[in-house]
Amino acid sequence: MSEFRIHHQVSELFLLLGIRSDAAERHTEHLRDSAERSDSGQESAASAVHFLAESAPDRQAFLTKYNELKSRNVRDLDHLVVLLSGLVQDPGIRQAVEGRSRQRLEEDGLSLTTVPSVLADLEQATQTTLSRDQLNELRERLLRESQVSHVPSEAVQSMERAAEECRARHLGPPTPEWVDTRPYLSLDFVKGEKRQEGGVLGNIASTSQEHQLIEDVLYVMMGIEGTYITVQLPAKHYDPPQFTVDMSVEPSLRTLVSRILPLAGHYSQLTRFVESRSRYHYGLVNHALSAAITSLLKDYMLLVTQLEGLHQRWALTLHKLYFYVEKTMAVMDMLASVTKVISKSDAHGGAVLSLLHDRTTNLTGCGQLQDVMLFLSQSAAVPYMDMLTKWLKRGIINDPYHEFMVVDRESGNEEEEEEDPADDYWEKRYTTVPENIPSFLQHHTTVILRTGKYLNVIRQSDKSVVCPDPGVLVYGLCTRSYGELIEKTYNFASQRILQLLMEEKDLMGRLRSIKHYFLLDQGDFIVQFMSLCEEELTKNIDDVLPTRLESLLELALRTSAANSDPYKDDIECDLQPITLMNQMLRILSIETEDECEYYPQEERLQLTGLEGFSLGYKVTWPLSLVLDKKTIACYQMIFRHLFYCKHVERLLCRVWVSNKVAKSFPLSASRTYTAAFALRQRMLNFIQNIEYYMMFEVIEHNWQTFINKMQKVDNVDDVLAFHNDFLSGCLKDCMLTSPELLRIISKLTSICVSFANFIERMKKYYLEAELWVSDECRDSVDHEDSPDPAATTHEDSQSFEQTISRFELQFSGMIYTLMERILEMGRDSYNDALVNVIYRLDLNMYYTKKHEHLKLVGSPEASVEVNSGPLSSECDEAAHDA
Amino acid sequence: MPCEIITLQLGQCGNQIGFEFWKKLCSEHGISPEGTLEDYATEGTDRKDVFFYQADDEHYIPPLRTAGPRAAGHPLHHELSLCQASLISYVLMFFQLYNPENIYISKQGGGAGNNWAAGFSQGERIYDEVFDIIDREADGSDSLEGFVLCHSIAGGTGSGLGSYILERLNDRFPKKLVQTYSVFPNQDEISDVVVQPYNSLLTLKRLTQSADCVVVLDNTALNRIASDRLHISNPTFSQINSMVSNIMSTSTATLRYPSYMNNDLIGLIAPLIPTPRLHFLMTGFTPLTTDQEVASVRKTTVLDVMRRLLQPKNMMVSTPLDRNSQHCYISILNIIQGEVDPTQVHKSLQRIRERKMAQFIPWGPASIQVALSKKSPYIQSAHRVSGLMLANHTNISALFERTLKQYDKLRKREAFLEQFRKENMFADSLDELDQSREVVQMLVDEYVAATTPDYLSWGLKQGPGET
Repeated sequence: MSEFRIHHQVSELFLLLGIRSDAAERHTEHLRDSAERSDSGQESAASAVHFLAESAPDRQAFLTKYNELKSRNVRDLDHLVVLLSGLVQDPGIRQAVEGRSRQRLEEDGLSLTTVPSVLADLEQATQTTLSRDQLNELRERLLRESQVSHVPSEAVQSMERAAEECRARHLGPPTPEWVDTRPYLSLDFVKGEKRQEGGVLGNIASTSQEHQLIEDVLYVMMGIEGTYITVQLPAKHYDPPQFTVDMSVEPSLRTLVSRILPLAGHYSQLTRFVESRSRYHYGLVNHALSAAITSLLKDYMLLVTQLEGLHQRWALTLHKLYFYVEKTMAVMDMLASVTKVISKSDAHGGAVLSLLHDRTTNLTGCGQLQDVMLFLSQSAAVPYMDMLTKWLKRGIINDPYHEFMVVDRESGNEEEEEEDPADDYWEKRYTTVPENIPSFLQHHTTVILRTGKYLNVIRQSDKSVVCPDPGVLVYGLCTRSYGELIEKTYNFASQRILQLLMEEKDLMGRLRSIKHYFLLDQGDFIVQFMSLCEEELTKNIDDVLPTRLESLLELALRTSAANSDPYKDDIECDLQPITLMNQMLRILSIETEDECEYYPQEERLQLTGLEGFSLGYKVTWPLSLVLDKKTIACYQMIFRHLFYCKHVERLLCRVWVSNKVAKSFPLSASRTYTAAFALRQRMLNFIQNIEYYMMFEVIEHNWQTFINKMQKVDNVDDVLAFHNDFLSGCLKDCMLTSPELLRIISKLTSICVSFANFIERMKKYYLEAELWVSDECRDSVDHEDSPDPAATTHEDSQSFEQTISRFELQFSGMIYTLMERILEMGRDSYNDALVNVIYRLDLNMYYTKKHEHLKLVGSPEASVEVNSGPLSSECDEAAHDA
Repeated sequence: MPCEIITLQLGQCGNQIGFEFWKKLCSEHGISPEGTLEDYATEGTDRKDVFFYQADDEHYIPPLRTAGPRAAGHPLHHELSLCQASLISYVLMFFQLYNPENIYISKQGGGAGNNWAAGFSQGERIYDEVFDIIDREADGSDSLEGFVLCHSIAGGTGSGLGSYILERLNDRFPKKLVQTYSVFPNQDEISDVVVQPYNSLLTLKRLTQSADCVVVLDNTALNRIASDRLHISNPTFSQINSMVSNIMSTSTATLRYPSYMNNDLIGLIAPLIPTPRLHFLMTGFTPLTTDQEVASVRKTTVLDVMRRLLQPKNMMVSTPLDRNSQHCYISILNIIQGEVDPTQVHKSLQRIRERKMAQFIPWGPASIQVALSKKSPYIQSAHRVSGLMLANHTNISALFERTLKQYDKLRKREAFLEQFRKENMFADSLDELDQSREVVQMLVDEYVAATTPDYLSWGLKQGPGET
């Protein structure tokens, strides 16, 4: 349930109760926490029960109720108890509830109900399946406690029936109608049977009475109402029927009979269980269990027949009868209690097995009883184990009644998936159902899940895969019997899929190829590509022709050393209508308040192809497990960052080339430009060091670590995990995950770009100016017609110098901010990698010294001003100019 | 193919080091002396096409895969030198590798006679023929990035013709980079070329004004290294040339084995050269071995390599060590080959910074750029890591100062100027020499100024005074 919904419901509730809503936040929090904390409920539940018991007026009643609920294996009982104790502990709510109920009390004249009665109310609620989602509903119900009235059991039964029917409609073929219409098909007591009036037994001699009673007892033991022993069917189907022995019977006999009668009750319970659970929708496990119980009942019937034989020969007394059935009674009692729990909790599938397993282990040391339970568990586990075998062996789920622990979320056609495997296929396709995991398989859950998943992947790409015979999985008390087999199949599957990915699909080759292009490992390709595409990419993104880009990309691939890469054809172009910074900010700020800030509408208008360009990569099916869309997106982000840095570097290099003409300027003139040269050098130094840092110290370093890990990897999930580690490490250390740093760096690059553009623009002028001047010097001829050349030159150079110094100021300011931020972050998070940038940027302490000098010279305010205030606005301007 | 480079080898010295360079490149890329690709080298991720190109297979050497060096214009003049005979055979050994059309041998025979002026004027005469070759090669490349010129500055052809070609290249391809490997004469021994100071000075002017990047190969230092470090009492040309070829091949390694960065020539030299005139680079190489030497296994870590590169005795430029002077590094690029963990590089940098092993300019950020490059898979090396340093150090001005001193000595006596006066250029006046001196002096001044914090305003203060 989403946080929003919880919040909404809680506040609704509060409104309803007239409580001030400032507490709503806290309770929402609490509810969500408790919903998340599904496993830790155990210990807190114990304390909560204790607390509730302490505070309850009738401690005993509460505990019995709790134990009863517990015995029925009601799901989420622990959570409920914790919630209740929370309610009791919280004075605010308690007050509100009490006030509310007192109000009601006055209205309805009812007594204040206590916690146990709440639980009683809950009992009905939990008859239907109770899920965590209903916590709120429960809470409301709790608060309406004053309205408690016992729902008639008929109603509950009808509800149950309705639920059953609902389920029956979904699962398996419908139960034929005649099963219901012909009550005598049952071996159980039949309701509404006409009683044979046998007169009063008390009138005859006690031996005769005994004889008659034995006959009745034997009948009752077979599920037929006797003459003197009458049966009242129970209100709830899992309870044993009530027997009434004729009142006139001699008390000693009656006591004896009433001792034997529970056996008949057990029989009735078992029969009813077997008959009801044999319906389709209860599932294979229940069917198997019923069959096992039936085979036990057969023995029981044999006993009854033998007893009857004795009785026919007048060789049976009630005492003897009691003696004969005593042992059976223990077994039957146990069986009845097991079936009762199962029916009560309406368990099926794995849950039944968990129950049986728990019982079996609890009975350790009880000899025969445990043997019987083991027999039951084993028989009931057979269908489940079959399913498990199929899953482990072939990855197939054959589970018509939703009993298995693994669920196929999209049990659809495989063909579609092959075309477009969902991004999160690996995560979401197969999931476990916690309640269907038998407790004895709990430890193996992840292994089982993975095995089947792997097999499915293998099967989709290679149908002919031969699965090893995992042997027969048999339930046993000793986990070794199946544990080893599960491990064996798992090892096979994981090795097979690893082999599939690594050898047949050459995952490492793919990754290497991706690294060549996305992480710019193949430098000559990028150089080639950039020189080919520069013209196209400097256009506005809407004017860039993707087809042209594609063909240029193709050309670059063919003509660079990338030509020898077998996977080069999977590279494609991708234009994204958003800058990297906004993309990152958007990702980083998802679901925060800032989110809407990063949806600039008109951004697209100013975006050049260079800023929006990215590579794409075609991934085929099994590889898309590792290289899903998200992963490729991560690669793309890194690529765009590096690509843009490379572009800036190339721009600055081009400035270098166009400036080299300055060598031939006369000495005096060329010196005017020294400041510009120095600034260009600093920019180049910055961008190259950043690139070097990202490429060698981050990417290459992480890559080496990744490769080392991959050499030892032995299952696919580790492959995924390592790969993710690699990528997130790269993203983080490339400063992409810190919006602040990213913003600073993108500002710096934009300053570089506008500087390069400025110089490029000025080229025409300074060439004209300087070479003309030099001509003049050389020729020593005065050009009469031209307006005073010296003046214009002077003015030009003035404005030129001013602009350069403005750029210089901006750039230095940003560099200082960057270095300060990095240092701060390094201090905060002990992130060594980032601090390395500083060493590289400032190897000769130039910036440090200069910054200190600045600080010393200017007043503190001034330096602050230099660092942040007007500069950033100027930078924006500069970026805007560009 | 992107970023091709055309190599020009001028004169005896230029051709000798050029041949060594090509020999080295061929062995690194698995190309046989016939120009065919060796069987073991067919699958490679290296980029031969930067320097080589695949010839048409019909009229070249029979095997399909044929590579010829992308070397154009070898005006191979018969220098009047003792090693003439050996030089020819030397050339013939590798003759098959070159496209014969690209070898230019002066028709009238005889070289420039160690006379700069003769070489220069010869250049004017053969301009068309030489530039035919160059243009043809340039047109044949998809995106020519620049030229590499190998020559010496002392002789006649390399210096004179070299200067001429430099000027013309600059006019004709203003957007292309021109890098030179210039051999400076040995100062320790008395040269048989008496006009060497004149030649050097005149060439230096062109190197200053027309080349974009000059890698200085100082014969003095090379000889010293050979005798001191390699313990060869009488170093032969081939031994020295193999050192030179090491430098040349390593400095182009990042171009030929592409990796993350420095995949084009401009990316290599732009960060090294902050202002256009200060473009004379020193080199250092470690570990120093020759082919003959049985390589003793040395422990070479990245830090070792980087530290050794900073030691003056490993520098291939002989400059007087003056502890009091303010000379400092303007920029450094280390090309490190071998298996290197990038984090080691960082640690080494940190160490260098802490111990202040290198003095840097005070007027701007300077750093030791490190380019990690692969090693050729076809050559076995005893060293795990080897490194080349390209450094822009202000101390190189000492070399120019020495040249200036020697020039002044000769000029005072007006010695040996008759040879120059014979050529048109100097027939009227010797202004060219004076101008050259001025340019070189300014260069020295600029290098000295670069050691001071106010270098950036140096020009501005002096500027108005001069005009």
